[in-house]
Amino acid sequence: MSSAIRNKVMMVSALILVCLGIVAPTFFKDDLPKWWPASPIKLGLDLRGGVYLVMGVETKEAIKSRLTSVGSVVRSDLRSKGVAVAKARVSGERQLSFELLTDKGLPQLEDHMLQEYASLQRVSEDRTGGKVTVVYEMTEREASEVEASAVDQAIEVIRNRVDQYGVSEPIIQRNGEKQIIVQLPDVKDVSAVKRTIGSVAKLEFRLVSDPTKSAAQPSVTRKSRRGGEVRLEDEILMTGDVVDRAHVDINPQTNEAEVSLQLNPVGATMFDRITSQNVGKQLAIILDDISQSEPRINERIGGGRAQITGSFTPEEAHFLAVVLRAGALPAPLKFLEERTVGASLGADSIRGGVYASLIGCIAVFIFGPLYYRRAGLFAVICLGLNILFLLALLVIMKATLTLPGIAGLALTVGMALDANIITFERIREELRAGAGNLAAIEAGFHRAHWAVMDSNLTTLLSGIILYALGTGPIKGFAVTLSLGIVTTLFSALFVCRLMIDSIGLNNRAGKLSI
Amino acid sequence: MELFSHTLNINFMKYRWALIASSCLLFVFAVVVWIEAGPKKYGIDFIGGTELVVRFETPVEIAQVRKAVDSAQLGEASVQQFEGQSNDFSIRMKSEAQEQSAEIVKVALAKIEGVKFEILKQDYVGPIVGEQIKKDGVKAIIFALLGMLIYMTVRFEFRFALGAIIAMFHDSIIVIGFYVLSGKELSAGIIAAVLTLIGYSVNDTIVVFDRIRENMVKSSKTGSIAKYQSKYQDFIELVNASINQTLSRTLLTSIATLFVCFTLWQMGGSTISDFAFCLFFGIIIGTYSSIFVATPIVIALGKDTPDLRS
Repeated sequence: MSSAIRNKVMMVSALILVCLGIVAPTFFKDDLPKWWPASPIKLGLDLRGGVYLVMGVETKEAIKSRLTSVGSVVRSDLRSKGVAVAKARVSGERQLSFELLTDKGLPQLEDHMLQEYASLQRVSEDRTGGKVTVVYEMTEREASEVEASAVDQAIEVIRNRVDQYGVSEPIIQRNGEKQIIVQLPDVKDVSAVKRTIGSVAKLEFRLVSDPTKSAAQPSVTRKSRRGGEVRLEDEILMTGDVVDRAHVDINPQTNEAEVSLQLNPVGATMFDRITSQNVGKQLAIILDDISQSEPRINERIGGGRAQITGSFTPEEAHFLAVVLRAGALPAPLKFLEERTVGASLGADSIRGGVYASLIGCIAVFIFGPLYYRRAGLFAVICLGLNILFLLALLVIMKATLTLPGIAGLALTVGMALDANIITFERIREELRAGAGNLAAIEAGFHRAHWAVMDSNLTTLLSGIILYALGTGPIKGFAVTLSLGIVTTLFSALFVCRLMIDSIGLNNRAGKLSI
Repeated sequence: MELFSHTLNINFMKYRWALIASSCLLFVFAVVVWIEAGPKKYGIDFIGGTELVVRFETPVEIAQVRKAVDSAQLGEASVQQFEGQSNDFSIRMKSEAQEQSAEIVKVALAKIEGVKFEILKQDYVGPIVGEQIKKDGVKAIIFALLGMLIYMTVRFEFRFALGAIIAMFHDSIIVIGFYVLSGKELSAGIIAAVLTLIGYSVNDTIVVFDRIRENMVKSSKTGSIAKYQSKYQDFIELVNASINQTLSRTLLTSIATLFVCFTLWQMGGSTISDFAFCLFFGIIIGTYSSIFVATPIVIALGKDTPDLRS
């Protein structure tokens, strides 16, 4: 054996050992010592069971809610300067209008807006019967920034909520401009997941309107948790942003679950002020536009602690605490696609896919040596190695094996044999034309080289396109198909070549077993 | 062992017009089938809707399941029993899917007396996503064909590229037509199957073309096949010889891959099975089209073929 060949053989042997080491945990997870560095191959949701969700973020709502809060803040700021703004209204996609009963406060309003909210531009002014309505519009640039950051924030909030849900290896990623993909392995209850992820969890504190005051006072109505509606003052006193921690408590007197909130310092000061100014009034706690409870303020509350009561079941209270801790979504989500796979279907699929692939492989493994004798045996050994390399590559690249991925694996076996067939047929031809064994092998591999390359590279091309444009399981298929082509080229053109060369070298003149 | 004698010399190109004519007929037939029956066969991946696959612990009559689903009053809903696994049912709701319809059906199913069930799969695809999947699928196939056209033009000549692309297009359409005809539902997996098929079919075509190219170079050096009066006749002869030389490889590879596809089709479970079904017939068509569609097109475009006798 020449030293060049010996080096190559040693290289390939080392590679095989390393790959065996990498693939081992996938098959013998429990029998390996703890220090073993490689991890088992990652299984996709379709094999493992779990929930796959695609959500659209309704980013236009984020703009509206930003404008609503600007309106509310401006009103309360101007009120402290002695200017009464009768109404602040969001209209269209990005317009905010203020209504003043007289034009006396107009300069102050315009001044205030210019100083505090430069991204809102004054677009029109309307005077009818003494009333003045000024319309501001958010610039397009600002609007698209708000939309983009809404998606980022939503991802952050969803991640927080999922973390609290205790799912192992969740995947949360952006999909295109306004979509979010969430993959939760091993989770079964899709409706619970949707509720946890999809609730906006917008928390507001408002005072309940005093029925004795005139109906002219601006007010809003909200549904009550106990049925019916409540009339509330339109000013939002505090929002969920100031919640620092939230946990479930059982009230020792009523034995009902309630959610205790710990507010951050800003919130604590705010809450202190609200409670001291409104003793005797009812404070409504509103979650996603439904009033949860309207406790009466008996005394000033310091220390930033608050409770939400409302005859919750323990599950409801727990859910509430989770969403309040994780924060509110900047905009509502719309569920665009949901796929749930039960664990037993996953197990069935693995069984079916693996059996079918094994039988397919065995058929190929029998056919090879039958048709090409010793060379065929080498070819199927190379096929086996090809599968080993491919699995190792999947582990190294942390790719996920999906059900179509298994099909891709089986298909790789069928197509990988093609490279060997092309080469062997070529060697046979050269032999028939009267070439010596070594020359036939040399010429066979040389002439087959481009046919093999061209045919595999075009398949790789469609694999890459599948990966780029496919979703979920199709991506999994594209990954195994594409990586399979890379390993096929290596094992058919390099490893198999090495083996065939060795028969040629040991048998220069006799009949070649091909 | 040899499946085909290496001295085999079939005059394939003699039959090219008859075969191209039948290919055209088959193609038109597939298009008609697709247009006529296709829209009814689009699964929830493409048109949106909800699909629920449930497994009952004990045997249940399909009528019972249907009754329970109907009682939920969710509009058009279809119930199907899986072949082989008699306790597995698929329930599809295609009509403007309410997000909650899966939950409502689950409640209705729980009312069937005396049996428990397990959710194997629960899918909801919104109409926007369905549209997206369809669009991306068509885009992927067009990009793949364009990519191949460019690659083949660079590596071969434009007429070879064109022959291969037309053959691939022919294969894709016929396979989809065949799939629709078999009564299976078109899902996102079919796009993957068609793309794989395109990859496979071009693979096959390239091996034949590679040999034609090689023989052209060889004979332009030696003038070995200058048998006929016209250089065009000589070219056809050369193409025929190339097909014959690669025939055993073409058929061997197809058979090996067909083996694998057949087992996946028969045993792979519903998702893989439909995919493999598509590939199984696709490979047969793809092998045929390499010889009888792609190559005749190269010949038809090859009137100005270089004089191989020079």
